[in-house]
Amino acid sequence: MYERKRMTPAKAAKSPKFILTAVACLIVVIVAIVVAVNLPKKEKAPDNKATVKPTKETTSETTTEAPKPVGGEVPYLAWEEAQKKNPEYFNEAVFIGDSTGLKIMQYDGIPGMKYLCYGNYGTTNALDQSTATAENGWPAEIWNQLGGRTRVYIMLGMNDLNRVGVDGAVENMRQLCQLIVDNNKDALVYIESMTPIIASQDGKRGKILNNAGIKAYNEGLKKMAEENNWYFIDVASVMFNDEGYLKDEYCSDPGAMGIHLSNAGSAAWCDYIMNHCADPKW
Amino acid sequence: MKKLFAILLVLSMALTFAACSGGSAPVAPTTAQTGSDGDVDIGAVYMAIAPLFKDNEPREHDADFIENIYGISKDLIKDSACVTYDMGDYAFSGEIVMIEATDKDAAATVKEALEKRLDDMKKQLSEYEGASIDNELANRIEVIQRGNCVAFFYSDQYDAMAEAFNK
Repeated sequence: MYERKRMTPAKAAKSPKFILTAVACLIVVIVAIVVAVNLPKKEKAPDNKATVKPTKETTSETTTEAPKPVGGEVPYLAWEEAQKKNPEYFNEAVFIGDSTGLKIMQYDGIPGMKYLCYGNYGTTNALDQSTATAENGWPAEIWNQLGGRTRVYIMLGMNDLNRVGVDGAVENMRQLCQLIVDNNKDALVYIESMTPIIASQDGKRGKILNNAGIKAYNEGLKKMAEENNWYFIDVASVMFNDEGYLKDEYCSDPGAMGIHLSNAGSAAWCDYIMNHCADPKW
Repeated sequence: MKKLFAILLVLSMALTFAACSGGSAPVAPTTAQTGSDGDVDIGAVYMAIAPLFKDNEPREHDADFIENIYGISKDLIKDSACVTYDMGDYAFSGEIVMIEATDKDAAATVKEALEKRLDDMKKQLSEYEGASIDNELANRIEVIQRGNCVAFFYSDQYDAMAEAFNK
């Protein structure tokens, strides 16, 4: 009877067929590993940090200046008429303000307006680059933060009057406006009168930050604006009650500083601004 | 023996191919794909906290406002609620911002922007005469995150709002 010869494992390992099979399998395994290692990696999602960086864009080649008031009167237009001449008017505007401005910013009553409003802010610390810093929560060189906007509305003063007095605050405003004009081609300056204090808090906020001081400050601002061919928007004129104090319904903090605006006060402010549009081209 | 060895080699090759087929080790699904267990229903939270400020002349704001004021791009936002309201004798208005970001990275960016907002407020208030209650509030609150949702409650009702958000 023929007996099939059985190979020992050692002999099997040396047989050509076995060697060939083993080599083939090894090659396949190596190729598979190489392919796996070199497969394209999943790409990391792009960094979606959102930034809104102001730019120093200039938009017009011609220099424009505010017209000299005729007999003290500037031809303001209500928004209904102004938007026919320039529907982008407030898309070109920026408002620089303090904590009163913050209230107006949060009321958000003027479509298109850009806001640069900060608590405890004023012309004094805006000009002082040692204090106008990110460490203090204020922007450095605000005249370079306008983002290309050319209509610059400014209402500051409540944080300046006690620090530098009426004349000092007016002079600081002049310097700030000059920096804005010098650093932004075609910039138009619209200085707002400072809004008053409610009766219950008048005289409690320091030596000069009271309605008498605010009145003197606003008179100084008007004169300075006219001398420099800048617009003066007397928005405070619609804020007074019959006794010359901030209207009760316009005040949001009657038990504290008595100077910040309620929604009603912010609405009145926005309404006045929108109905006193001005442009030297009109 | 030969057959056994061949079978073992075939099995090892099969396993190798199976391991290579995905390109990488399996990972847990991202929150962008399935939603995080921490995500918040912003609408439900808003309805829960609205009674806390409904009588304080609230103003609702859209994504344009969020972008203009907080510097948060609309591209990062899946859902949002933003309200400001009168807080009486506080110098600053109440601010409520709740944002569901599009993904984890967007949520990190949103949180960073809102923390900057809070940080700036603290700095502005630190020497603000007459705004001591604002200063105390700003130093008490935090920006809160759950999953891809981030909330900022500058509010005298902060504790109740934070609780509603974290529920």
